Amino acid sequence: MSNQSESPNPTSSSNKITLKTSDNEVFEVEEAVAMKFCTVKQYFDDENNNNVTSGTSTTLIPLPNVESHPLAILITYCKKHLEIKANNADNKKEMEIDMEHYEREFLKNVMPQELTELILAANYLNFKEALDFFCRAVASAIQNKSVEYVRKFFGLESDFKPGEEEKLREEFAWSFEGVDED
Amino acid sequence: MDLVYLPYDVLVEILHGLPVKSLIRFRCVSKSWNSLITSPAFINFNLTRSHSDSNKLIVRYVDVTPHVERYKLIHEDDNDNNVSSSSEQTQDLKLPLRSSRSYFQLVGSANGLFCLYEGNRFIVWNPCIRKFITLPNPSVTAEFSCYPAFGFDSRTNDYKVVRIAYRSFTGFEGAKPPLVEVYSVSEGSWRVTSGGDSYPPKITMSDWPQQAASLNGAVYFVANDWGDARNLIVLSFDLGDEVFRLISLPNGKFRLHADARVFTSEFKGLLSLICYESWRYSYCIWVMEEYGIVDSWTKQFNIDLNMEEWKVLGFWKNDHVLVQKIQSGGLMLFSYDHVTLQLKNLGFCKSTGCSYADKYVENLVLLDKPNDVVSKEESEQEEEVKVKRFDSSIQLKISAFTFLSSILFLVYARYFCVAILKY
Repeated sequence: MSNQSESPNPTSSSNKITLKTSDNEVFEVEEAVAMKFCTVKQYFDDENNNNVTSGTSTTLIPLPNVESHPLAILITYCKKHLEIKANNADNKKEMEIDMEHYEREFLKNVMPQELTELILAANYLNFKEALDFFCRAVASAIQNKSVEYVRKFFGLESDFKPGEEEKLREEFAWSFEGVDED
Repeated sequence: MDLVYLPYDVLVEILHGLPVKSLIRFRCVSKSWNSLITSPAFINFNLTRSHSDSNKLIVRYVDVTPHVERYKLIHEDDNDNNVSSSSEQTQDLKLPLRSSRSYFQLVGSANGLFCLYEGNRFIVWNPCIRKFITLPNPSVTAEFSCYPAFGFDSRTNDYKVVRIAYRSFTGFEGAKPPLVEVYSVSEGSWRVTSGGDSYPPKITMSDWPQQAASLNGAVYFVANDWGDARNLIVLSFDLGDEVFRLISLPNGKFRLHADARVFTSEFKGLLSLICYESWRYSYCIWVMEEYGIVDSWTKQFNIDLNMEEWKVLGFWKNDHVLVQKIQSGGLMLFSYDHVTLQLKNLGFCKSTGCSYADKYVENLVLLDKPNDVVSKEESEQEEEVKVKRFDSSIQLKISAFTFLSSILFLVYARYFCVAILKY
C-alpha cells in the first residue's frame, strides 16, 4: 500500500476531472463534484488500490452509459447541492429549506419526460441525492395522473388478460375519482 | 418519446413515494406493477414510510340518530392556529359493512387498521384502502368473560387479534388460567395458544375494560393484582412469543379500589398510563421511560382543564393530548399541548357516547387479501350452514353411539352364550 489517501481529497478544488460521455462530449469538472458520483469515485478508489497515478488533471473517465444532455444537468444540480451544503454547514434546517427551494425552481425547467433520462444517468453514476430527488419528482408528477398517462410515461403496455383490468377498476373505482386530465 | 425501462429498484423507489390512492389505481398499469404493489415486501415497506405523516387523526363515534358508528378523518394544518373545522379538514370515512346490531364493539386499532367485533364475528378494516376482512369464527367460547385485543408485531410484520377467554369466575384469585386464542392476519386463521400457561396467578382484568394499548409487539391490559401487593398492574401479552408478562406500576401509587382509573396508552412511542383521579377531576400521565424497568416509570404532567365532562382519549403528533368534551348534542374534540397549555379545537361530532381516536396511518395492509363482501344474507346463510353442521355432527354421534352399543351387545351376547354352553 502506498501512503496516498484512498480517495482524492474532495475539499481541494484545484484538481479537475474529465468525464467523457457516450456521445463523445468531454466535461471538465471539479473533483468535489465528480466525487458525488459514486461510480466515478469507485473508479478512483480502484485505480488507487492498483497504485496507478490518479487525481491528476490528465485523468479521463469514460461514461459509456451517460449522454451529455443529462450529465450537464446533473453537474449543475451537483454544484448547487454542494454550494448549499457549504453555505449552511452548521444549520441543517436552513440547508433543507434552501435545497427545497432550489429543487422547486429546478423542476420548473425540467419536463417530466426528461426526468426518466436524468434518473437513468443518476442511477448509473450512483449519485444518491439526485436519484432520490428525481424519484420523488416523478412520484409527484404522476400521483394524480391516469393509468394511461403512467403507461405512456414509463413506456409500458397493459398485459392483462381481457376482463382482468376491468375487474380491478371496478373493485377500486374510488381510486379513479379526481384524476387529472392527461 | 423513446421507451425507457427503469431499473426495478428505481421503480420501487418511485412507487414508494406515492400515496395509497395512486398505488391502488396504478395496479391497473400492468401485471408486474400489480404484483409489485400487492407484494408483502412492498406493503410492509410502505407502512414504515407512512408513519412520519401523523397530522391526520381518525375518530370513531356513535351517531345520535340513527344509532350507528361513524368514522371521521381530521386533518390538522400546522400553520393554522385558530382551527374551526372546515370541510377541507374533515372527511367522513364509510365503514363498508353494517353491524347486525346498531354498531360494532371496538377491539382496537394499530397502524391505521381497525379491529371490530360483535359476538363471535371479528372484522379487520383498513379505511384508507376501503377494504375489510371478516375473520372465521373463533373456536374457543368464553364461558365467562372474554377480553379481545388487537396489535401489530413488527418482528413478523403481522397483525394479530387476541382473545383471552376465562373459563371460570374471575374473582379475587384469578381462578383457572384463561384460554388464549390468536388470529394472525398473515396466516389467516385462529390458533389456540399455550399462552394461558404463562398466565400469572391472582390476576384479574381491570373493572373498567378499555382498549388494550398496543406497542412494542405486545398488547397491554390494566389488571388487578390480588396478591400481597393489592395493586393495579399492567398485564401484557406478547404477540411474538405469545406469553403473558406483568409490569408493575410505580410502587404504592395505584392501590386497588383507590379512586383512580387507569388506562394504557402510547406516549412518544413509550408505554404510558392515563390516570384519572376522580377526587380532583384531573388526569395525570405516567410513562415507562425504559421499557421493562419499573423504576423508570415517570410522571410526565397533569392535565387540569377548567371545563366539565371531559376525558383524555390518547395522544397524537408525538406529545399532544387528545381530549373530548361531552356537551349538548354531541362531543367536542380538542388537541391539548401540555407545554403551552393551549387547547385547540378539532371539531364537533354529533354523538351520544364516548369517542375513540387514533392517528391515521395510510397503509396497504389487506390489499393482498381476498375480497370480503359478506352481505347480511350471506352471514345468515352461514348461520344456517353452521346449524346444519351441528345437526349432522349430532347425527354422527348418535350413529356412533348405536354402533358401539350394538358391538357391546354382541360381545355380551357371545359371553352369555358361552356361559350357557359351559353350564
